[in-house]
Amino acid sequence: MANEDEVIICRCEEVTKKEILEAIHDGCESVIWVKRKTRAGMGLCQGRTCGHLVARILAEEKHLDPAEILPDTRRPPVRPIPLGILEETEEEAR
Amino acid sequence: MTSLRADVVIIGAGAIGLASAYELAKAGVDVLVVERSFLAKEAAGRNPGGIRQIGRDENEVPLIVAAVKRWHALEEELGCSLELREDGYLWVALSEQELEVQRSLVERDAAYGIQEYLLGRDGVRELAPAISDVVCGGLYSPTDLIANPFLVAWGYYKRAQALGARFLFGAEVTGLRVEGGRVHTVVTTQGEVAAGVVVNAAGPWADRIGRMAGIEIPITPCPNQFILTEPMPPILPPFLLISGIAVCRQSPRGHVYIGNTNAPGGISGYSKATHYGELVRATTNILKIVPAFRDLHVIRTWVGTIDFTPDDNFIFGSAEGVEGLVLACGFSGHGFALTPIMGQLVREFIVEGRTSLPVDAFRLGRFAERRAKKAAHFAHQQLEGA
Repeated sequence: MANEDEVIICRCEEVTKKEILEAIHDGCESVIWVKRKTRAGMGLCQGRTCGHLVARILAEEKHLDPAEILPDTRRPPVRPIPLGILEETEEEAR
Repeated sequence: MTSLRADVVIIGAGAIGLASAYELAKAGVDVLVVERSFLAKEAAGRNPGGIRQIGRDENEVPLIVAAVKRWHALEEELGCSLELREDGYLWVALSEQELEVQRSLVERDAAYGIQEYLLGRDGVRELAPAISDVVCGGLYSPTDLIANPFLVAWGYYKRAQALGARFLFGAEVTGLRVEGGRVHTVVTTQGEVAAGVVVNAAGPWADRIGRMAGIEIPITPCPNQFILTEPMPPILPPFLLISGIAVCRQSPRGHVYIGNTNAPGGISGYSKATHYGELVRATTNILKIVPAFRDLHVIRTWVGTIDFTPDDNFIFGSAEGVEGLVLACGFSGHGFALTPIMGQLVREFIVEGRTSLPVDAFRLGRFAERRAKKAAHFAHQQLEGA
């Protein structure tokens, strides 16, 4: 591996480990704040892939037990749904 | 526990608090921000980033014009990208009456140098072919802007810090100490901070801060719902506004944002729960206007609390009755766009004791005066009737 810092942690938003580390050093103390600074976890999978990796990096940097790192807020929908599902048809509106 | 002091203590690290901290630090003022969470936790990090000049209250027009001027220079000033873009705003008209309202605004705003164009159905189609015939026209403001709220918060934070501003995060304000009619200390969960001046930039919680000093700030919190979809190639160039119903924009990456418009009279409170009914209302209306979004997948929903005042205009200036307390709150859902100018006004008000733009219309006292006027009118009617 050329440089570990260049490893992509969030594949959806293409966020590298280096960016995650910078955010942590800038004061981002949980997965949510790393997300809000770097976009890691804001993409299509909503952090399902990178959330654990970000939490692990946070635990290492902060010398904490990974169990102490708060995960990102879970929000609906649980999985992507077409926008049309939220549309009220004229029949329903009656 | 810490014991600190600062010439100016700002409550809240939202857009307004951060911009004020930057402006004050730049002017050499000793400033400290207390924040119960971290950067841009609430509206400053939940709004879709629109910087709209059209459809504003007339008193706000000179402020937004000055703000737009400052936005254009802000990336250079803060030394970072804010993803600032001139996407323009399109306020679609759903009726001839709405078009008439828009027509009157074109003339009014032209006097302030804002370019606005009244479009018919064909004009709208030319601008954004994806918009359906449901609309009968619209008001288009090509120079309205978009910025990334997270980058704005970080940009201000970093510059303010570099200029000497201090920040106390994770410190919730639990009290204000007032003596002889003057506030002198901010009590937080991390200790007390002695202050020369206190700025209340606590957004929807500004009324609680006010009560700690014995003043009443009329704010109604309203939860506004947002939807974010997967990306698709750009088909909606301007920021879309349906008055009283919803807003919609497509980000540079192609994601579609839909936000409902929820004001007092609708759902109120501090809840961050996703409200299905409100999502349906906003989505149904947006899909009538941009049917091509129908098959996009929703990847997230979230909620932001808007701090509405009784007249939907913000509150700025002295807290009449308490010396040393400055109010910059109650932005009613249109504060983000004003960020750079509010920072400047807070700095001018504190450092120079006056502001370079008229802000008299935004005094807290206006609400009490209106209530008194109404009461007097009512008493007069009672007498007439007797």
